[in-house]
Amino acid sequence: MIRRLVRLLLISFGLIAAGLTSLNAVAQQPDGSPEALLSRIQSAARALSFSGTFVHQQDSTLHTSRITQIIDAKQSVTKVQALEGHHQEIIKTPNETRIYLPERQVVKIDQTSYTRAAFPAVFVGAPEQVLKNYEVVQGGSMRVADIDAVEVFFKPRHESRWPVRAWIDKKTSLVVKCQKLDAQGAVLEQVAFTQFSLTTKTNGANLGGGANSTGAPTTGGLTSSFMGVKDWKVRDASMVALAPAPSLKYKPETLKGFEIVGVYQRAAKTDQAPFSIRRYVLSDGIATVSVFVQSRSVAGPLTERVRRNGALTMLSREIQEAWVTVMGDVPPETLRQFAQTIEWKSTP
Amino acid sequence: MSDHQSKENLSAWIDGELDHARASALPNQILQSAEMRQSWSEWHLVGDLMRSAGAARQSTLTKRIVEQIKSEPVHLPSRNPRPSPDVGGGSVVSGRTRLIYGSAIAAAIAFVAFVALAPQMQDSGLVEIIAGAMPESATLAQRPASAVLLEDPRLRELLEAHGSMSIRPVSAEVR
Repeated sequence: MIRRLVRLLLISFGLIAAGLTSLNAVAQQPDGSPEALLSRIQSAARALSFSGTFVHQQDSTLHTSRITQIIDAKQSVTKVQALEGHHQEIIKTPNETRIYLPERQVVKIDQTSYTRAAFPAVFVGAPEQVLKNYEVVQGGSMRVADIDAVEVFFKPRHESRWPVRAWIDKKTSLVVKCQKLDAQGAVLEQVAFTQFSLTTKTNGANLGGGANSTGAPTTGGLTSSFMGVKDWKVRDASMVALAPAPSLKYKPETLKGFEIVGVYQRAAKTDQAPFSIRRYVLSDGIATVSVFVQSRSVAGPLTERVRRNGALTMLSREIQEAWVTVMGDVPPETLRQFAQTIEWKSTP
Repeated sequence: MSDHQSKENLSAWIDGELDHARASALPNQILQSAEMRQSWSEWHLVGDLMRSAGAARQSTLTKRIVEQIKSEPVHLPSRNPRPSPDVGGGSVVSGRTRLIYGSAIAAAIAFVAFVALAPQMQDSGLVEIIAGAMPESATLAQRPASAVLLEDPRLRELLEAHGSMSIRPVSAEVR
């Protein structure tokens, strides 16, 4: 009896020691560093071919979309189709994004050379910039869309941004679910796969090219799904990158960790203004803040109070002869303080 | 599927606890059922109210919830004590044996507690990190911008340029 109890005691301590040793080993894996993790996440979003359905929730608003991404030696294209409400289809290639609105027979073409974060490629900033502004905390495992995923929490190092929680596919490192949270941990906005499958071959039926005989616009040989629609109106939604980037006067302490990563502009239709719209893009590696400057010749202001929709907040200010509209994935108080410090002169 | 089950699934989905098979069917159910849409809106309203003391004061929802809780029957645990094991008349246990016996039980309990509670301890820490990430003032509840988005096509244009978490720009694009 006594020997059996002693054996049980030794086994218990042995198991505890083994458990602690294995946990320590996981934490010290050479490729388990936050930098390596972020690199794997970004590579997966750029290199994987997949199809799936995802749900995007902003507050009480819910949208379901189908996504297909094909990456091979010849092309890299992402196709997103709205599954609810009005038909809408987006085809994104490295050089441009086309938004098809078949009910209006309109296609908007955006050739602005800016890498926009969009699910599942939600982390597009340089890893070192992300880690400068967020602490990466690995959590437990959870199944998302039948995928074994691991939770990764991005804890802000400053108060001026939302915490972000993501679930990463253990096999591919692709983001399969992402949430932006408020200070209490409540979900403000989230996007997640509800169905997902990796693909290895280009699906010619959905994305295959060839001449478009119906008049529908094409993108690099790839056709839209709306083959029966004719006489599309093409609208240019592009902005031109400005180099060197003109500066923007504001107090950096109101937006800690954010840096201007690009300035873009659309030319004015008349000679009365130097441009019709200019956009300053600031990023902390995950969150993005846009400062739009428009001539006061357009009606405004758009929204004088701070508004929030999901994780996105926005407001407009009248500064001299311009409307300055600020929108970003940051808390309302951060956006308000930042916007108040912006200085603008009509002839910078 | 019963209405009750559907709402249970909806609640679990909002909490992020629903499995894939049932979650994939929910968007269609929400779209097809006015009652489900109502529940969806109300439960998010509850979330908004919890984040907005001012809005909570103006709403009758809190009062209704309190009244509902008061009307619920109270369930108390049974006070019947469990019968004590019969320890009299057995073999005599020596002090040394009792010490080893007690140590072994303590070690076993410690091991079970470590294995069973470690995940919960990790989760609790995560919640604490989230809650402590930003000050209270950073969560000022603002009126959702949805209405504004629908009203102003120029704001939609800017939103489209800014982008959002998904590649789809703005839901009201075609309106």
